[in-house]
Amino acid sequence: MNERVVIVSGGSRGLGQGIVEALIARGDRVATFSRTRTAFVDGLIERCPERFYWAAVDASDGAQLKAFVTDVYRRFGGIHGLVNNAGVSADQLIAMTTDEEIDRLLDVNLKSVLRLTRDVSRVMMRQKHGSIVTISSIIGTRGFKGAAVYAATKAALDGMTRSVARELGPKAIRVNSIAPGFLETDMTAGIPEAQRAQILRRTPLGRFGGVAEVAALVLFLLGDEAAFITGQTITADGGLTC
Amino acid sequence: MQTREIIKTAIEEIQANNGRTGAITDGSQIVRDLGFTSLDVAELVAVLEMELEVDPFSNGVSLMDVRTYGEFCAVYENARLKQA
Repeated sequence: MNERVVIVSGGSRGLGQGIVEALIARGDRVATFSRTRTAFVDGLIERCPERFYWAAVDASDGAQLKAFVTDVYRRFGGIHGLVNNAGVSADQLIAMTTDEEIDRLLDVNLKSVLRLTRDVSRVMMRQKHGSIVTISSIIGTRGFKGAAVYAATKAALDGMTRSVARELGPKAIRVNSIAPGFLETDMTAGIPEAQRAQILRRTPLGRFGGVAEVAALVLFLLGDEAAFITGQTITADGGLTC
Repeated sequence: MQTREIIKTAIEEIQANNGRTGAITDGSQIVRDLGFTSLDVAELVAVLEMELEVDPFSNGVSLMDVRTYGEFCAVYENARLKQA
């Protein structure tokens, strides 16, 4: 088995946790960060101390992100994959959105991804290979009430993906994004029942997605099976946007 | 290894990866004479950040003002002095 080193941002819960679990199960070495430690993180540190690394990092702090990347590189001797997963959501009409809320979403969902991608790309350029997968959202391509700022950040990530793919392709670094639809996670747990029913009616597969289903797509894009795919946004939404 | 030697080695490695050779002197222009693309220059800066643990271009120095091997060396030597 080809043992890789993969950084997953925000891997302590939700979709990030599912991605970390899938990578560990594959035999990869995984480094992740989040603001707070969870029971999931504690369990992996105990179970896989050689292959799992976690640090407390505030994604909105560029210096902390850079130090984390340097730390992972020194600890594992390389970085083969990056999964930009960390993100926050907000349900707020644009007319009622505060400056603080706009800044918070831009800091975590966009600026931190740009910084982390920059810092990891520097390592990957030297290695002459790598794969970067960014979790965007169907909300970046379709309109959803109450999601203006979140949508702006996710659309921006797809734009970043295409441009960085063009920049780094000559160094054999692939860059793709995944646009999940609605998944069964904490982030969607608060969706009101009526809205949930409406989403399900409009989804051909008639259900929310599972974390493991998106994690499988992340593993595919990170791996050699996707060696000729770069600059793409792959949608996994049960057909909601078809 | 001294700063100048580290930079020269890094340039030679990138040249070799791109199938190029060429003598490196203080007056050699990285792009015009040594055939570096903008991505090669970015790779050089990334390599030097790891080797020298400093990136002068993220701390106020403009890449546009640095064209030759000699100028590259001077910028990194100054940055390392400031860091010391």
